[in-house]
Amino acid sequence: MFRKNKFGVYLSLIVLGSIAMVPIFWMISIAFRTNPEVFASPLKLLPPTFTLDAFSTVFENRELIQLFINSYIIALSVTFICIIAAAMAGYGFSRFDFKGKRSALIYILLTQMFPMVLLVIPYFLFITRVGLYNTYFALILAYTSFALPFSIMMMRDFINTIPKELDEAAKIDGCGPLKSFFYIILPPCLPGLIATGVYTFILAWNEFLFAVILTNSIEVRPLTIGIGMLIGEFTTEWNALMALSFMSSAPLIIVFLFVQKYFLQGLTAGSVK
Amino acid sequence: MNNNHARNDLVEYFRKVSFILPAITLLLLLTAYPLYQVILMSFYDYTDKANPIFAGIKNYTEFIVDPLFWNALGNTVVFTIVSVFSGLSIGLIFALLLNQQINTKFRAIFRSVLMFPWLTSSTVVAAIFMLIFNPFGLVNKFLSSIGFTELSQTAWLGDENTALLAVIVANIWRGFPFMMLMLLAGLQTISNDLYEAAEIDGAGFFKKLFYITIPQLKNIILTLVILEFIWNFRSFDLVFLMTGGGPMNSTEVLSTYIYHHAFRTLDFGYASATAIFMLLIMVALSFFYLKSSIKKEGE
Repeated sequence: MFRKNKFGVYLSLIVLGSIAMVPIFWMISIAFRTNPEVFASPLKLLPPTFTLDAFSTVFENRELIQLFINSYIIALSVTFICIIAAAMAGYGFSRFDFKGKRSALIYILLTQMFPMVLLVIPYFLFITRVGLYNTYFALILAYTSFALPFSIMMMRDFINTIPKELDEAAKIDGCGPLKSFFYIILPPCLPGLIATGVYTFILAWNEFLFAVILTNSIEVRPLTIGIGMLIGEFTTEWNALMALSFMSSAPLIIVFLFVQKYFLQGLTAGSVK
Repeated sequence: MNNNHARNDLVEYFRKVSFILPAITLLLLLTAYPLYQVILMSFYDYTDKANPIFAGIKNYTEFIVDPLFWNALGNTVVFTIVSVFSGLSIGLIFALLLNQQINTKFRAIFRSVLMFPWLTSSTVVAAIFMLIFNPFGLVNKFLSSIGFTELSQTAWLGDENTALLAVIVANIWRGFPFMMLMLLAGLQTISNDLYEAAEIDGAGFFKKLFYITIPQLKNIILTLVILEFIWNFRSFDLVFLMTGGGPMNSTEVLSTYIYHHAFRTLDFGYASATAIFMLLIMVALSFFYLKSSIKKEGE
């Protein structure tokens, strides 16, 4: 659009992009400082003395490591369940016509509108009643229900882009719906499956409200709670808090960098038309 | 014979729905049942926690006259509108810049790096921005270094005039990358011929932006606005972590208002009634989105 002035484009991107990245830069800069230097005056953009103190504070704390493990267990389980359920449902919605299909789709759209805080009250009562309070399973169930609606729509849109002729050819060759789902639909769906997986993993890894309400001990609580609690307690140890924040963001960023190509394809398969 | 036919139909029906059954069962169990529970609870009085009694619409008439409820609703509206439109503008600026014919490596790096805010959890975003908005933090250090000595004394999150603004800034920062990504995908579908034709007619940057780019992106902008509207309207984490709704309720949004009534005062009935009201607002405001999605399904 403004092709005459490429230099301006590069310059704007660098300036605006740098401004947008200040919070990330600041998190890293603080994570590698000693604590007295956090509010060093005058302002020091780079750590005056580069140190890994804050990281060793985090690693020496066994409870924080446990929180990491919990987050992985919960987020990976939710991702696994969600990918399977969403791929199947996406296939069903994309390929079959049946009574109640429209109502089911409308309901899925509606669930996107439920305020989390509306669901958390009955969840809490239900989970305590069935004895699942303070278990991984309580959080896995809850997060699956948040991630499913968007995942189903994403998978359905993605499967819609796969030509119907493929299934029909398979049908003529004697493939049943289940067989054609596994051999015809799933392989070209890889970008969609990855997008769903990444979306779900991010959602489960980052959730906070339900984790506060449905768990109360360090053995099952996810990392977000750990950071949330440190915001209260550690207010004097900002460097450790930033080191932990850095460590909790790094896995998502690394995964995202590897799969972002597929993620973009999957995310935009249906929504950009 | 006829019976057999009906049975075959039923088998056929189950074969078709079997693929969506696991997901739908999970969703009904995990959202429809809780919703039914909340509706029920909203008509009960929880003064005696062990034996709630039916109270009719008492909870509804109570919250509707609470000035703090209207304060929370107002804050939610401000929080949502400012977040959505600022995020959309920033997202569009970055998307437009990234869509230029620039070095592909350069573009790929910027596109990835600009997604980082979206990948950080709300707890991390809250922690970073609490540090930045600390009275001795980065914002004030910067302000004092460029000469705003008085402004640099502000306790951004502790002052009722600035706290909401500070939370909104954190929220926009977390929200813009997703909008950027979707808009960029939309931009890439616009044919270059349109711009070339416009250039021949002598159209400048803004003419092209308002007469070609934005109209071509209409659908995706509409979808984004509604999705973001829903996500922001119900958002909880940032406010809860950064200010807890304070100071003096100046950042209290509907989600934290409901949370406080449910888990601090343990008034489940009152909290449920407010939550139902909140759901109704969201459904009403996204009605057109629902309608157009449903119409699309019909095709």
